[in-house]
Amino acid sequence: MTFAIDASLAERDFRVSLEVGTGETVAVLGPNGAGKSTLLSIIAGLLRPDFGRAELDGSLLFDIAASPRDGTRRRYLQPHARGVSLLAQDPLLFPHLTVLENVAFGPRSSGSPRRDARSAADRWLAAVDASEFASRHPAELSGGQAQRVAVARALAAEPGLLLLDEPMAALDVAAAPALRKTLKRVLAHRSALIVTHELLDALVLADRVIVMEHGRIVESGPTRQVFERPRTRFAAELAGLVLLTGVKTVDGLLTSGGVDIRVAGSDVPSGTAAAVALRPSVVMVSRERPRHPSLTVIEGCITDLEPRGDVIRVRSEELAADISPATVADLDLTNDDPVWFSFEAAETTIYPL
Amino acid sequence: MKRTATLAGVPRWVAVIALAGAIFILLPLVAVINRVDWPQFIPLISSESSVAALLLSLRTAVASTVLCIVFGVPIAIVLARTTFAGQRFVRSLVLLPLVLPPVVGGIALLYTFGRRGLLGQTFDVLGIPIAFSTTAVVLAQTFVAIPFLILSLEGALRTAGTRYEAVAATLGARPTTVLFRVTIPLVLPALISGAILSFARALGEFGATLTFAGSLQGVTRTLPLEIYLRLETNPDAAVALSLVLVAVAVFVVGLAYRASAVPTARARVAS
Amino acid sequence: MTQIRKLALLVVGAALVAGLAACSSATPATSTSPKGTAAPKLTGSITVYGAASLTATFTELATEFEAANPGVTVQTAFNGSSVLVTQIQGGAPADVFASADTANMTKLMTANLVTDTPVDFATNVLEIAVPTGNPARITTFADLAKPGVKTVVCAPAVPCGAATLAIETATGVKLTPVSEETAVTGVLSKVQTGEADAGLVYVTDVKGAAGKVVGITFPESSKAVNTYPIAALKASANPKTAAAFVAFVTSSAGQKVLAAAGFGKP
Repeated sequence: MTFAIDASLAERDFRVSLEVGTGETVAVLGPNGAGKSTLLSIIAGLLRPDFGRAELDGSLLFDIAASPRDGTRRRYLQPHARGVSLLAQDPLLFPHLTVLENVAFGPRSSGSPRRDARSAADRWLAAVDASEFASRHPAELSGGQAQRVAVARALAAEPGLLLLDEPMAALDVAAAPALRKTLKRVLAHRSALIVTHELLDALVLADRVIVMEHGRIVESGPTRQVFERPRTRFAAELAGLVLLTGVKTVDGLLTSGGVDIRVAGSDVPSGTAAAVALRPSVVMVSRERPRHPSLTVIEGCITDLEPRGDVIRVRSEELAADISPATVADLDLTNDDPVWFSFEAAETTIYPL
Repeated sequence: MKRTATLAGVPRWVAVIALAGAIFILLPLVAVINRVDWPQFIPLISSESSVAALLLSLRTAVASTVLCIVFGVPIAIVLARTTFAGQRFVRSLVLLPLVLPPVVGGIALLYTFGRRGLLGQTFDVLGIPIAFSTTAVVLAQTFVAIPFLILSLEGALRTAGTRYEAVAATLGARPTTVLFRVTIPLVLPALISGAILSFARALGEFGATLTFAGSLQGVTRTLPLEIYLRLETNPDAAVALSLVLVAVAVFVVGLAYRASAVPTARARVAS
Repeated sequence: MTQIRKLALLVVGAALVAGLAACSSATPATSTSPKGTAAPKLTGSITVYGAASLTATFTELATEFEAANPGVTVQTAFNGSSVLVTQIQGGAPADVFASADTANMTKLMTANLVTDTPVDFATNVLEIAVPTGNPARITTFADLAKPGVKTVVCAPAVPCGAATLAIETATGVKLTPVSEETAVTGVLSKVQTGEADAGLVYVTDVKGAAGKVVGITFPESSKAVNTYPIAALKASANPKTAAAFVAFVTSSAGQKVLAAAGFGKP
């Protein structure tokens, strides 16, 4: 274990306990306002928790007692002494310094001689393929170039833990893949937390994923497992899956909405909490109730019709189906229309919650 | 051609009023230049007392600008970067010299640093006599000039925000390192223009100096005091010296624009 | 210059005679004399420009003059004599000018802005002013030159400074002031606040400061006597009232007010 935190901040209804192993990269997912940035700020030392404790590589970042009577337990390390680098959405390169000086900033601040700092900066610039920009000023870089330099700068500080707050969010579509590739290379065998909204980022960069909602961690696990067998609607949505939760029955799942779903053979014991995940592309929509016995049929009201490339995603409260625009037109679908969603048992995956 | 292009979007009447205002500001300068006794100009401004006054003015204005920076920068940082009870009140107090008549400022200083003032005896004991000394002139000038630096810098600090500083801290920079390598460089244009405004205000200081420091050639009689005195006996000399003061002020303000224009241009490219 | 001097002396003489004549007559007659001579015809408003040292006395004189002449209003403006001269030359709407020295009045005469020959109406001499308690124990003019004594004087360019210089020259006592103020009020305030140990101001200033400074007369002050001339101005829109005000100042009633403030007889 490299990093462990357990912190509370009542003002933001935030209570999180988390560990990051040595060399492990953890993706932090969650809707806006879930507390992802709060988490990073508390770890970086930019925001003070009400109480809690955090440790990095054996040194205490903070230790604040829950009750003031335990006054002895009180330690709070300033941001600069934590060995935690933060890479934000904006590169925030210091505009008055050259690219090289920006990257050498961390080593210089920790007391390295000018020459050593310079050679370290050269090394890290090379590592992110940005050596050619060394003598430029940040204003002369594109967004992608600047973010690569920012990565080099964050790494040059030799942090014990690297925090990345949506590093690709501000980049245009063309620049993101190159940076993702760079990050994949430099994050290998490095302890890091990366806040992202992108499934691809999490899949490519993270060993493990946590999902946050309302200031709490609601889901956690190895990246692939979380996206193949999501336990929260948010993770399912990100993975492009429909999630139905309920109790395992003998031949299927009884959802909390009272719908009986038929599922192909499974080893999940009956009577336990379980979830069914399926892709919207296998769900069909009709005006009449389908009669085929192998189909699971669920009635619902359309809440949203969302164009997605060459299909339209039709949503109800609990389900979603990707169908062709032609079908939408034929069925004359609009919001609030009652329709039947249906799918084959063979297309579902059931797993315990 | 260019002018019509840049005027686009500005109502004509605004431009007309702006022109009238500009004339109102510039005409008195023209009047001064018009009244100068040019054949006698050099002898008038190179008299012993004039040179002494000019040198004293430059010396004291530089010294008070340094004091403005030394005390004004920390004040601006505390005002912009911290929150504490009564902060608004403190800010308005700090900016008080801006709205106070300089004479009132002089009286206030007199009752603070004067021989019978709050701190006067302390300084006397320390062997730093302030009354009637050049130190008094510098204090008076600093008092009236420091709000310019604080205002200019505090605004810039608020605009710049704390994000760069946060990044610098997470890169391992101590607060002092952040201050000197990030915060101050980021607001350098505002610091320079604030310092130059302070310098200009110090150079023109009259009321507080007259009230607090007195008037003695080479010691406390700065250029504005010399001009006022000359008005009594030799208006031609007063006019000539006024022009010198205007020239110095214009030079300094021009310098300020050049100094702050370079980094601004760079920032514009960035945005 | 000498011509004007002679003329001025003549006028002073005349004024003195006139004053004596007035004094010799019954007192009630004197006090009503301005009213008696001009009351039926005096109307309108006049503006009197006076030297700064005349602020208190001329404010009082203006009020008395208004009281004696219902329907007349007197506006007053006070400043350094040279500043007032500059303003009058620049066309300021003044009807009467009272100067703290003859030099400034001469400027107006040279510029042909004065109606009649100016009349000297008061004199003023310097006095040593010290803060209450006299911390530096000043008793004589020579004490001002002692080392360690912080003396404040007027700059030689202004009338009170010229008078100071004249006394220094006459007595051979060389002062090393810590400040040469541009106005006598500057000297007074430096003494009043205790910044300076002593200052040279006019007798009338010490009186006007009403106990906030202590005055020390010294015999050498007679080496520099400032004479105050007054004159009506040509540009006046109300020459009769202006002339009447000048006459009032030189009348025994006017002189009483001036004497009470510490001014000497011309």
